[in-house]
Amino acid sequence: MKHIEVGAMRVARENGFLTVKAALTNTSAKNKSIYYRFAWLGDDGFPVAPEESWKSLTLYGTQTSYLPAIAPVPQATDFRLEVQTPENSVNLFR
Amino acid sequence: MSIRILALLTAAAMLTGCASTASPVLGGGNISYGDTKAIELVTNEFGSTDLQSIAESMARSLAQSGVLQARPVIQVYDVKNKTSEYIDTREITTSIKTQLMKSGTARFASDNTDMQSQVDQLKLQNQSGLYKDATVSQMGNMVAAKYRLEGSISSIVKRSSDYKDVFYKFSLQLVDVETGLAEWMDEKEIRKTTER
Repeated sequence: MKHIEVGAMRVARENGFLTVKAALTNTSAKNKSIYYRFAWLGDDGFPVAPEESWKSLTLYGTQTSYLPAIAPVPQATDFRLEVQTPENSVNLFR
Repeated sequence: MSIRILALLTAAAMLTGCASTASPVLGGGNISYGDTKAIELVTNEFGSTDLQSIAESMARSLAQSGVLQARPVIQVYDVKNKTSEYIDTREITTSIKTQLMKSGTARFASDNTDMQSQVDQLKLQNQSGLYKDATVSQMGNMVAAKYRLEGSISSIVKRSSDYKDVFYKFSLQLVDVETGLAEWMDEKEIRKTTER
């Protein structure tokens, strides 16, 4: 995935729900469109909720954006961030 | 020797399975099942992705807010459609309700659409004399809502020779029925632009 970098991820449990903020940076000078979604996993490493719908985001040239996410159920203890761009795609694991 | 080779070949064929099997599909042609979670960009109008993203962000924001202590009872009201389009806003509230229910943070009182069936059933059980007493649901035990949930969706549409831009704003609030105070509120904005 050219020009899109995944940076720091902050994970916390707030009011019983896992919350995540993940930094995504566009390293090119051009605006980039990306698609992303989170998968929420339980203690056993398997999904605790149905697949999320994909979301679309525009990153302006050299911009860093923080994707916010809240787990759908309190049972979620881990997550995966799935990112795609219109040109190419890769799965990222945390 | 040749028999042994033949036997080996037959065994190999059985192990690997032979040729392709038919798909369990009848008909086909131009019809296919798609990904229900895909980003839908068929037209500029309100679509499945908008419905999903609104319901998801609202339900999660409310569930995680900490306002819903000890699974309170909520009455859901219809979302007011203030856009120029036809939108089945009942589906937005149904999705929000489903997701909150699955998160285990709230319970829901009969809302205006299913209240009539609820009342009919209670009356039937208590007034018809058809049912065994021990199995009859008693009158006067329905649980009243502590909160009501209501929202609205509005849009701003702009057109030029090159662009059509639609901006949606969905707002939702949770109001304490006894005090009338709004205890939680959130909104979701969506912009969709078509370049001609």
